Amino acid sequence: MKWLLVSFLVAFFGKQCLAQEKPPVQFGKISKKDFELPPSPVIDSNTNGVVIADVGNTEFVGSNDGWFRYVYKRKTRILVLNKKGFDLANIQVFLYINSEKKESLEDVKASSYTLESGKITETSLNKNEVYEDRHDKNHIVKKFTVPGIREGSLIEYSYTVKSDFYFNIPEWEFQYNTAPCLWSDYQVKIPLMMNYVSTRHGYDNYYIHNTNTGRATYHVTNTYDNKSLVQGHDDLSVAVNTIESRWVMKDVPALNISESEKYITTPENYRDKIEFQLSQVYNGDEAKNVMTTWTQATDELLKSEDFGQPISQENPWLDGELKKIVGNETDPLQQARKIYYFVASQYTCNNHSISGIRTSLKEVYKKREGCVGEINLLLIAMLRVQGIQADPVLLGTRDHGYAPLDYPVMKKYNYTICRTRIDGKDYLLDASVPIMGFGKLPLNCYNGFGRTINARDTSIINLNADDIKEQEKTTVLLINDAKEFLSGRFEVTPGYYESRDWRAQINKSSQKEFFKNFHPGEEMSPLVENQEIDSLENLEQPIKVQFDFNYKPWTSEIVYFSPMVLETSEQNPFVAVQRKYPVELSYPYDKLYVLNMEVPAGYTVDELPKSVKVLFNQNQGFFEYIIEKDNNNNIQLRTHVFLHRTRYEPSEYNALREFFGYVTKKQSEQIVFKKKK
Amino acid sequence: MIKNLIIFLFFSVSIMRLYAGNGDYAVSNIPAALLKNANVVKRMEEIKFEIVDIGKAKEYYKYAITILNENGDKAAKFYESYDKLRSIESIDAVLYDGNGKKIKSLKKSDIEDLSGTSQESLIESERIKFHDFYYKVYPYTVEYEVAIKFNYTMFFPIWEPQDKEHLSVEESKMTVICPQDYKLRYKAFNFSKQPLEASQKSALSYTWEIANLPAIESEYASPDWYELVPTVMLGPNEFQVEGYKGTMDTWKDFGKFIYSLKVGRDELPDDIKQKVHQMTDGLSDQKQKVSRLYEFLQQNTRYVSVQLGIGGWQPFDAKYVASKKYGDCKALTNYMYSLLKEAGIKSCYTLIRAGQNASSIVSDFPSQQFNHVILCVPLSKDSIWLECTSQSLPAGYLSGFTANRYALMIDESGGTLVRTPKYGLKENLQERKIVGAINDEGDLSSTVKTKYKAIQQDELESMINYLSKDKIMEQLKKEIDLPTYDVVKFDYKEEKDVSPPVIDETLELTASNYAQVSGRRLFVNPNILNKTYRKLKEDPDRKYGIELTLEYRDIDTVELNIPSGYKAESIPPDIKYETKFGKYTSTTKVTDDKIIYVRQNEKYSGNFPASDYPELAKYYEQLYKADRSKVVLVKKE
Repeated sequence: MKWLLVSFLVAFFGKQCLAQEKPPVQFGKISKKDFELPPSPVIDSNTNGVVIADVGNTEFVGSNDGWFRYVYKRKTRILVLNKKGFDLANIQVFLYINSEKKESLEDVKASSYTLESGKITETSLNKNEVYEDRHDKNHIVKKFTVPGIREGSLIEYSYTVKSDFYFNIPEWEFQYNTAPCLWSDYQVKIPLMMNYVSTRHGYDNYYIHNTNTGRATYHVTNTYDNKSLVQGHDDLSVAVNTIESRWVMKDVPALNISESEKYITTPENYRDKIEFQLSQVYNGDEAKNVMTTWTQATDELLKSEDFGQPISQENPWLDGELKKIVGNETDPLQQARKIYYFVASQYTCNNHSISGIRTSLKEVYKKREGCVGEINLLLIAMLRVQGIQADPVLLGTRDHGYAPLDYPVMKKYNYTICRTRIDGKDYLLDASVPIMGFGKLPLNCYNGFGRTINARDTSIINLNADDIKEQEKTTVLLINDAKEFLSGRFEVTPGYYESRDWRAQINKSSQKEFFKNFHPGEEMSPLVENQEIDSLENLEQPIKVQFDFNYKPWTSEIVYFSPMVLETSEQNPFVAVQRKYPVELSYPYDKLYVLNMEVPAGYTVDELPKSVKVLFNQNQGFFEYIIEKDNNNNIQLRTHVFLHRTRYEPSEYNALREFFGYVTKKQSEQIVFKKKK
Repeated sequence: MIKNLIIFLFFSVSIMRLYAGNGDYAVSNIPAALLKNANVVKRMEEIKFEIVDIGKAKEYYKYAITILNENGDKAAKFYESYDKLRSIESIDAVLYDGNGKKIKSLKKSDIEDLSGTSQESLIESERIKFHDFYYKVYPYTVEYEVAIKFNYTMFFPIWEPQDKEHLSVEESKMTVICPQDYKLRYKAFNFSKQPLEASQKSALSYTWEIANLPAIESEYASPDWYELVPTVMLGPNEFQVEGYKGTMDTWKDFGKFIYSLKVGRDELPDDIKQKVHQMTDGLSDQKQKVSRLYEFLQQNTRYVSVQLGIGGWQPFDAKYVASKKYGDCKALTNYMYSLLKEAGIKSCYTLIRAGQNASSIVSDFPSQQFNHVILCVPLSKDSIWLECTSQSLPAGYLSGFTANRYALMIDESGGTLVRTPKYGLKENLQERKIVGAINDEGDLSSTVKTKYKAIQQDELESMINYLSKDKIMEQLKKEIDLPTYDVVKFDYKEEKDVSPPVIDETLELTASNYAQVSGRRLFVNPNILNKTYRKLKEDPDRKYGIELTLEYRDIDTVELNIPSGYKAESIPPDIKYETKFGKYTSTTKVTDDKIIYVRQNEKYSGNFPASDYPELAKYYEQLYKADRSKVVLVKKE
């Protein structure tokens, strides 16, 4: 996990380059030489398109409400090598809007250049070919595709975004999904009125990274609204110090993580990227810290109408409903359970990535739907009205990317859960996900930690995937039977989360359909009897599946018998031969299988596999395969695969794959029985 | 007088029945037979479609569905699309509890407005209104009432009360109202009653009604949905959209309309005209000219879909494609048509319903059932078919995307229904030879040479032409069905000048622990790369016929050197299965130093009765087992 927190609160004279190196491209001027593929270590026979230069720039201008807005300009040149790179010509720009203001896209220019018989032809985008689509209530997306491209064409496009939403200035991605980038260059120029903190993702190094001070003049106006006695506006010209930073990366390889990559939290964790958050505002007299510590963030959140306010005020309108839910129950833990299950079963979550309240708790209560923040904050409100201690816990989910622990980078925390304290014991609750028991959290929450949002208690709650206990245990019993030859009983208790998946499957179809997942093999009779599923309704516990089955009588001289009955033997989960990015499992791997079998009547054991124990990285896991036959003609096999960690670096991938390769191989060994003479 | 009174009463009664919906939605009123196997019960449905005049229509519909459990929640979500030519006049809805008591009504502010642009398109003018009551106390009922206005009459609704599985229907009704002189066309499936016709001085009405349909479940390889449930398709006669007029009662006339949309849009810029002549004037063979121009198309255009207004049906003109170097299927096909026209070759813009698993169109009911356009070039001896959105397919090959189905060829005389080429048992061949060795640890090293022909090479063709080399290697290293293996090298050669095309693949494959070692024994499954996986669930109550559509043949030959010092202890017997669904043979021989395995699997197409299902399931079981037979080698004493 690599992210770097850099605060440039104080001007610092960074690495001064001998001369400010410029991008290797003159935008707008194309010559024949530009069509040649430049040499670069990140270009090879797999490259279908190359970003020659991607240059961005954010500056501030005075706004007409007495403050500043930012202007973001971008210029990009791409060389399309073949048709597999045509996607690079499709551009999208997301703009944020709310009821008061909206970001705007201006000055869109895009052209393709094609070299044919020594002549360069330019085809330009028409203004009406920039399309707009409404993505959701707060986002529109502007889309266009560069016309006239062919294999070997150059594309150049540029645009400007103007915005009032300066809490975050535009992030910059140095790395593209499928194309290498030869020169990625981002500059920001910020007046001393504002200070930003940046977070960095990715593994590659900067080619240029410097910060200088400068000076600039801003023209700010203040238009009073009509209600004021004084009409007209103030006009201010301010000359202030600025902080100018620049980051350049050269020869950045394509990220190349496919969407179907398994065992990964999110590719965004590995992309070379830099993001910003406002940390301080200085209005000429005093400097105010904006969200620089968790204490401050907690304070802001508690005061906010979209978070803390609605749950800390009196909410008597919930009284009626609570009386119905709680009924005669007096034990607070049971009351909490009832309230939790009410919210969990009656409410639909339609957005699992918003941590606050978009409308109001009353609205959410009436509509019975909301985002995760709304649902869990409603739960907290209800618990509080009932007199039970409950507080919000803010966290960033695994698929949202790593969230910094010490500095509150607000964009990174997209999820709110509830911590309730009853009789000195804490329970973490999430009512936004179906089939989740009281006190259980979805796997997506285990991204390191959560922070309690309470004025006197800002404790960190550990949510490490490594700490999840999730063991799948299978027990098989096979005995000689006068009627059936070999009769068996199969019992499996999956871990809690796997149980949840099975519960969902059973809900969707039926128990009968579900049992069809256990295919009796050719050598067994097709009838599966005495099927039972325990604890199906108890959402706080894993389920237990059991059934009886029989083997058809054996007739051959030699029988090769697989002790991992009903195809329970391991498949190697790591099929791909190599891996560039870490393996991130959702929980530690833990599977146990126990077989107790009587040697079938009429047969003896000719060959038994050997017992073995293999350690993974000494104490980080093991594979145990212990098999023995006792004097009473009973065979016992116990095999256990356990890995203690959930995260493995790419350098450990081969070892992991070989480990499972060995497990698969060992578990497919057969016991050889020979017919008695 | 009396006649009018009767008609008036008839219409009044109808109107009253509209509001009968406010009646009792209590779940206790649902007959037991309709609860069986159902997640949703459609309590009532009423559709009123009015053809106002040649260019305008109105639709009103109301339905009430009871959601029995959470599997039915999806049906409770409401979506309706709109664009410039089609507007939603009103949406009303009410939520009822299990006893039929009203809980609340829809609030306008709860209706969401979503983008209707699909994944593949850059932009479409379609947008969607969405609403959900988000109710979770089961059972509950939602009732929606919607009015829509159309500024065209090209698409008529289809009446299909039972449009998904696990949904039963209490009653459903559709009424179509049209002007006196309008000849309404319709075709019914699984519904033998004639519609009730009535007439008022200036209008005719047709009414279809059905009641008490128990829920059904979809089954493996069943026929198209409209062949299973009561369905009525409606077809316009004369229609108009954005000033363009047409008639649809014959394929010929519908074709004339499509032609009228594209007429005059084939003008090429001068430099392209010159290029066409430069490229083709020197060639004598028509086929060569077509190939050359198709190559030009592939090298100079790409697929971008922009569907705005009439642009959803009318192709962008040739000049547009020449300058932008992109277009959707209509524009690219029209462009190819224009190039060929300049070279003096006639071709036909052809409408088709594309997709590997697309349902077939109803060939005897002319209507807009198409979603794609290709080009047909009829030559003296046979025709060349061109997929104009592909930058890599060889000229004349259609692939599983559009092969073996009806298509509507368009030219100035109108539309003609034809069939696209079929690739069958002979063409869809996969022939593979593996030569390798197993060592005494059970490790496999091998060279695999495979020839894929026709439909069998479709997926591979996409992969080779759209993925970069390292992505291809990534795919190969993930997709091969072997535990712990590695692809050391790969090579692909496309043979595009044979018809149908062939891809030759060579892989160097290693797999550790491929053969299981158990003490003195080695267990080897000689069928390294071609195991079937399909196992059918038991279905003693199968209702519908079985439709198997894809035909193919796989031949695998494997020669594996075995480690010295081993002999065969157990060899799988030769297998031969011959059924109406296919033929499967395998032979396994073990010599002093080799295992030689030959497998042939032929799959036939055909329509079979539901009673054949157990036989089909047994056949798949047999193949599953046969593909996993192992040779057991034991160390010589």
